[in-house]
Amino acid sequence: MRACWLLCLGACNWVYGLDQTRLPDPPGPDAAPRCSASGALAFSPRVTQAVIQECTDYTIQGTMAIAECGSGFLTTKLAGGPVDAPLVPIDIAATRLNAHLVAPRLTPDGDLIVHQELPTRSSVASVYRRDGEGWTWQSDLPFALPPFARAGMPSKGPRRHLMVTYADRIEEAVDDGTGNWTTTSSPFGALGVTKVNSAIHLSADGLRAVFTGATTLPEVRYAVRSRIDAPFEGSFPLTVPAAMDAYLTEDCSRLYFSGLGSIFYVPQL
Amino acid sequence: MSRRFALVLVLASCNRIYDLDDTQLRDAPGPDAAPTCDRDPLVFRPQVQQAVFQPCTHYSTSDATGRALALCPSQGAFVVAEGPIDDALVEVAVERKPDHAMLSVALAPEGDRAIVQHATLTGVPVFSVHVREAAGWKWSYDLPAADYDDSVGTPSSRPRARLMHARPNAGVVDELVEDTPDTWRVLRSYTAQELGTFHLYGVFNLTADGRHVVFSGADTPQNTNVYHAVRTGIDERFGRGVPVAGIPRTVVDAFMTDDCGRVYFSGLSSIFYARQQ
Repeated sequence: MRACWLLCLGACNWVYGLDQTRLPDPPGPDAAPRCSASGALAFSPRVTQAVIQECTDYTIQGTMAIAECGSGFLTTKLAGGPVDAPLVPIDIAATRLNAHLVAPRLTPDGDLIVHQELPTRSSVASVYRRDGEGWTWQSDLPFALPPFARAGMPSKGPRRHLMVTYADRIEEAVDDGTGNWTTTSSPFGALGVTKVNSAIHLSADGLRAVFTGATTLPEVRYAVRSRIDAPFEGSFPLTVPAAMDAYLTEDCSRLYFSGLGSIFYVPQL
Repeated sequence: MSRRFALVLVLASCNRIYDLDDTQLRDAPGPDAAPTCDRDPLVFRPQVQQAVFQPCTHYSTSDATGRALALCPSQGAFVVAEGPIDDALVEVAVERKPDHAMLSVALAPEGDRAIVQHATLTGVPVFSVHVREAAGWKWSYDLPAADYDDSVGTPSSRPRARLMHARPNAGVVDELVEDTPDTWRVLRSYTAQELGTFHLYGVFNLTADGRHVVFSGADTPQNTNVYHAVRTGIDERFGRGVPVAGIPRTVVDAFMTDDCGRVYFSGLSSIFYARQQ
């Protein structure tokens, strides 16, 4: 009888056909960040000064970051360095006469999209590829950008999507993989705002977008879509400082932005 | 047996027998250490807190009342807004002339009066002292005449309150003293060089004890920083200012709390504070 009890008590999950006991922690302070598919993303009000330099348009690929640094029209320089570390000027040159390089985007494919801005402030977006320690011009994107129009961070290639912000509309451009781009134009209302104040940065999969837009006051907003070939429908405000160059890391763990002479980030809650 | 007894006595004797001080188990200064104004230079954490999610500027606080004032946009103009420290700000009534727009506000440590900078049609600002009343902030009197680009920061505590009136076009900052209630005179002046800065644009905010002032400074036109200057007593002159580590460099409205524990500032449509490291 005792042996019977002992056998019963000592039998394993396999004998009883039970699943293994799992003890997963609920999401807590150290939970891994997640990219919300519903639009609900919350960030900490604790803001970290990551780089104490007067730079803007900070974007990251792997362990490297690039930004536009300095102040004043025609005096800024593109600078790069390890993530969260001081930035130093990078070896890159404009190919257009009298052009000034601004608003860099270090893309998921490892190349660099840079705006070659002319004294008239109109610009062309150009692709540069890493060449040893420097960057070499590869091609121009076929968009004539009027003053203050800006291309955002593209999705990952070869069929890259890229959003362009104009004064009165947004356009989504799609590369067919051979450098032929087609564009679709939308009003700002497609993103649920009356004005888009910044470039629109896409995630590598093209399903998420971060930008600054306004219904009344400008605020950083987040948009999601279920398929890359579907349009974005509306967006959600993020409770973060109202920066004009917000960049969300690929894992959605941090939102970087600039202001007050520094590059900041807020971690996801 | 008697040896054992003696040994026990020796081991069990107290500090008083041996004339020893009490054992003290104090934590070394750490992340939660109390702030101090005695540290020179002051250092603040690079992690800053987004305290008020409103696009306001010139945030100053009063420990005496637990309230804060700031200048906030409303319907195309700026208004004075008030609220508990670190909480939402709500517009308050401020008595002013119809043609005056408000440009800045500075709260006194007692929390019962504020200095409001008004823009006038001539372009020369007027700095008015307003006192708190049940219905809002009532105009009391104007400070001595100002010039273009002048600024006035938060005063120290009464009696004999002090305040700093920056006059960049004249190249000086005047320190005013309130000898008798509501009567101010220039006590002394500082040049930009004496305060360790290249320019005098921005607000010079005093702490309640009048021993500390924070302001926007620069050692070259391109290299701006928030500066801190200190003096040993309120009747002494301020020494040269030094950059405050940890505060974003282009802040122009830094306000330091009386215990030097926090520096508040505005930017990116928010009010932030940095905590002393």
